[in-house]
Amino acid sequence: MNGFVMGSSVVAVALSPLLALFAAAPPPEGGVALVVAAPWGKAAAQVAQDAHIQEIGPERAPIGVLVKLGDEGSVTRLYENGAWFVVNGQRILELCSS
Amino acid sequence: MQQLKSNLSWLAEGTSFVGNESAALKVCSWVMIPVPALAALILNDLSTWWIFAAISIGLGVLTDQTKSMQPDTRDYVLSFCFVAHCILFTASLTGHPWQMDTHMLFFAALAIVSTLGNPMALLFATALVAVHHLSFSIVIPSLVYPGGDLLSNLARTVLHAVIVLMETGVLLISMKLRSEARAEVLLQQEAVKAQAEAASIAEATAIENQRYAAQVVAVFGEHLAELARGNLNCEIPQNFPAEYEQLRETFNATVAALNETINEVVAASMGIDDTAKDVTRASEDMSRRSESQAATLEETAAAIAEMTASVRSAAEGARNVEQVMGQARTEAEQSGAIVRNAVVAVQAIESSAKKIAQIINVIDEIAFQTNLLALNAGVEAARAGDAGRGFAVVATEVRGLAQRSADAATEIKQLISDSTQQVDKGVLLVRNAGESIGQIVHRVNEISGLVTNISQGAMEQANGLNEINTGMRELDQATQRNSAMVEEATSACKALHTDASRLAGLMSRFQIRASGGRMPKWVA
Repeated sequence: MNGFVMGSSVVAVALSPLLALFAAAPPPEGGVALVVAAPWGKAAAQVAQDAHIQEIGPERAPIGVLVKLGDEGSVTRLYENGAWFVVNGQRILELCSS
Repeated sequence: MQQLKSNLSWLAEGTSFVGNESAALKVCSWVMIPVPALAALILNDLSTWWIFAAISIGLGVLTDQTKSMQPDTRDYVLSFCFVAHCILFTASLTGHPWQMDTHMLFFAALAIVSTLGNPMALLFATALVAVHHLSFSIVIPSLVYPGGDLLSNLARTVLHAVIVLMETGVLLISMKLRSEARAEVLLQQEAVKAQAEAASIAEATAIENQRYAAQVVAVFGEHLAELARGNLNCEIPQNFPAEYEQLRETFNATVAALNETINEVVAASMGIDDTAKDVTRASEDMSRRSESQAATLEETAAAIAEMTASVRSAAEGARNVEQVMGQARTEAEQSGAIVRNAVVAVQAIESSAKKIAQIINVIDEIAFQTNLLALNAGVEAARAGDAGRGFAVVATEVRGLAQRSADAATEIKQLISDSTQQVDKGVLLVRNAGESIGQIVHRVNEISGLVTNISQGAMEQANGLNEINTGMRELDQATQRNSAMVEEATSACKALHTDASRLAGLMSRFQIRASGGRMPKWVA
């Protein structure tokens, strides 16, 4: 029991940077953002398309796509079209590069 | 290594101080629940504040669920929850200038976790903090150390780790001291608890014993009152509690023994009373006999005293007789000498008589010659005629004288012959008398010896009688003392009889079971 608790706790804490990513302030205008959508709803790419946000890169994840934000209301439109999270893409890039 | 394990055995035990410590951590966790969401909403203006709120609530629920967990698991979960609150709080201020300041909360978190008193939980929390920082340093270092490269970030992480380890070490030492103190307190508490339990048990036992004791005392009081009234048939039939059963058996045994003893005392008192009566009668008889014996002894002593005086007088008389016999012996011896002198004198008389007879013979021859001469003268005168007449007358006268001398000489001779015969007889008699006197002296000597022996015997008898008299007086005194003692013994026996009667009276107040089915009859 204790091993499970300790292991789960360590895993949870190790994943805490994700929280920082997802709960952090929205990316700035013109910045890169990661759009995460619900797996059972619209796909992330569809959400970006509906929000009139430009998708970046050839690769797609099932529930997330990288986009380049436009104006100030880009983030708001993404959430309105079904996005779960709009994460600062620069941090994601740091994460991927590390 | 073994020493290290030994030193950290209190760590391995993972013993947490159940109670107020976890409650304090829970309170802190509850306090921390709204903080990340409020910080995200108010300070950092994050639209994702609800994520912090949801996770914080989830952590709160998890914290609340720890009350049903095992203590060590609970400590790990509580540590995780509080560190997670800190992570949430730090994450809630991501991008905010104060985010760096929120790291202070991790140090506070370790201190708060240490209040659990579980060193393993503290190490676990420290590990979580380290994992958190490492993950950020490695994965997203820009969120922790903005503007630095990886090596400098790792160096800063190492610096932070050193600081955290120092704090953890201090907290562990403090916790160890606290653990030891708490262990000591727990030991004392356990001891006190054990003492309290023992006291409680003892109190309950005492109360129960007191109740039993009260019952026992009541029963004993009743039976002792019966015993005080002299009823020795007061055994306790009902059973007592086990701890008092021995007392009841002892009481019953005591009553039985007392019963038997009183029975024996009663019998002994009766025997003493009878014996005292017999002894009193015997003492009175003995007293009378002693008095009679004393009187007899007194008379006997007086008679012996008189006899002693008589014997002493006889001894003195014998001594006087001895003296008289001595005088008689002396006088007899003197008489013997006188007789011997008389014999000598008689022999001298005989010799003188013989000489006288010779003289008489001479005188007779002279007278015969004278007569012859006178006759011749007459013849001559006759021849001378008248001239011779005168001469013849003278011659006749001379002749007559010669005749008378011859006659006288014859008579004297006859007398001397008779005297000689008488002297011979006297000599013989004196000799016989001397012999008789010698025999008398010899007898007197024998008598004197016998009288001396008699005198000595009389004296010895007198001395013996004197000693007998002394013994009789002592016997008389002893008899008188015996008589007095017999009188005292009689008085003592009478007193003993009185005491036995009084004892019988005292014993009569006891109601006893007569041994052998016989109740004693008292004669007071």
